[in-house]
Amino acid sequence: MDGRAPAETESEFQADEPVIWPLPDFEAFYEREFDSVAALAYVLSGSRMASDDLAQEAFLAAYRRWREIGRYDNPGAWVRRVVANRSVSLVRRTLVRSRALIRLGARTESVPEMSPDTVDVWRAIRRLPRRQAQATALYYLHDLSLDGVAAVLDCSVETVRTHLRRARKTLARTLDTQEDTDGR
Amino acid sequence: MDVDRMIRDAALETQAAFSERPHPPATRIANRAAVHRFASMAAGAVLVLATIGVAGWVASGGPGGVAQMPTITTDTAVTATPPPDGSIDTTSPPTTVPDSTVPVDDGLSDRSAIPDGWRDDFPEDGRFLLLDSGIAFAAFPNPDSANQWSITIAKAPHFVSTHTFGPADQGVGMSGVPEAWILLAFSDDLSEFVLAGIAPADASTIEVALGDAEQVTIDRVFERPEIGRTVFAGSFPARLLLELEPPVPVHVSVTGAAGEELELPEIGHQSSSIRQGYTGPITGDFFVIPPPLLTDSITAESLPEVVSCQGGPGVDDPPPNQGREITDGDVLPSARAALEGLLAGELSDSRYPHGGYVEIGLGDDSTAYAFPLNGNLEDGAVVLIEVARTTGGWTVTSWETSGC
Repeated sequence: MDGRAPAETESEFQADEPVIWPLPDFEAFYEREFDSVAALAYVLSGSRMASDDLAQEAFLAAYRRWREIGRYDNPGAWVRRVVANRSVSLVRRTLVRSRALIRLGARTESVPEMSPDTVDVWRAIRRLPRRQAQATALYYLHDLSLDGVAAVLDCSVETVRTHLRRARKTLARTLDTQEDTDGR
Repeated sequence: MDVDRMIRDAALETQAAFSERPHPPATRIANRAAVHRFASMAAGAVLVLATIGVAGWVASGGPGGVAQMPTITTDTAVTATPPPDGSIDTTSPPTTVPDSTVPVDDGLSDRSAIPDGWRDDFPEDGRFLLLDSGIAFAAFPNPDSANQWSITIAKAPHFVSTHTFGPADQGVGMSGVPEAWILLAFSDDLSEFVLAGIAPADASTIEVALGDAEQVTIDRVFERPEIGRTVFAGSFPARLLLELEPPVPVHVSVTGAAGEELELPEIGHQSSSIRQGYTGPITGDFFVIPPPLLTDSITAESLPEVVSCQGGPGVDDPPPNQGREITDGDVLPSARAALEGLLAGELSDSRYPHGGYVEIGLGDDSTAYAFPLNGNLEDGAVVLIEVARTTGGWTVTSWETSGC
């Protein structure tokens, strides 16, 4: 295992091997990682309400292949890749959800409350090109190293660096603030 | 503040917000894995909860007699037997209600085919159909009322599956099911459990309860006077089911405003499945009862506003309105034909309503067609299509829809 998250393919989600609860270490892994993965789902999808769903889908995928995923050095990277890869489909699903909401009226679900400034920052990040948004979210939200982001996104460190540089340049303009100069 | 600091602050606040709120229990993953397994087995069928009970249909007068519906009740029993393997047979209709005009295949009522652990949930006097997939359909008299019947669709351990019941025009149709009935299903993404029912137009009280205490909100009621019915729908998070120990009863009741017995209008209108659940088309009717293209014709001095999508809790970016000006549309012999042409072409997607429009004459050789929000143009329009007279006929000049 080289530290990179293995590829997530659609066929992996078709796996239907019987699973028996509890799986060794899965519950601890879930408890340790869920909130962080759900936060990533929110940042990339824009839906605080749907973020749990996407996070659960990712953990469900891991659960069903836990015999393999559980042996990885960093199963959390695999789950994050699932979330990142599915962000586009979740955006689409979020729009569907919003259709439902206008039809059904507001429902009372507990969603994390955040300040308008924070919401604006993530909204601006979601408007970045997809890979820039993913790299930015992983780097800042999960405080991953450049190597860590590269492992999740399955690209080179230099590519991550480029994504982040371009993202910060765009964000400085759209958020009407200064571009930082730390040179990463 | 530089952009790096701004993002870091947002990250810290986001991390805190997500860590401070209770997250779903890990056991739900196991439950969802079970759901996915069934979904795979079901080969695309809609997942539906264990028992669909339909009652309130009183054929006291026999065919042509007066049918009465004092209440609609459903009792849902969820079993906990491991599912047999196999695929759904969508070709054989299940047994159905006690109407002499409805064929019942007695050859399908072999109780010995019911898996161990299920039999106690199926009354002795019921009729049964057990499909290879392990999905069982049953119709049996309601034990609380000699003249009420229930229809059960069960799928171990928690779920049942069906395409459609109602008139036998689709999927596993149940011909002869009375028009007062209830349908329960998971939404496509399995996050919600939705219910929908149809009742007489003058039914005024609809209540749903999950288990002993959980109240389920009926948050969508469509009055459909053109068919003499009220269509209702509600939902609750699927987790409520998954977190409860089976059997999980779902109770539904419909009564008249003064407790009077409600007469059922004649049978004959079609209802299709709610397989699309809350992710269905913009028309939002779980029971897609095709409305006429035009429901009303009025004159007005101005056009209704197309409402904007308001999103909801947790949705930060509701989609904007959609639409465009059309300068080269087809010229058709009437304004209605122009509308039909647009609906058959550019707006053919099922997201757009294909019926239920109000024709608005503007007195300037132009006409508009509006799909009202909440059935009332005073609330605004969900879709607005403008048509104008031109050389040789009528043409669509613009359309706009809510982003929702």
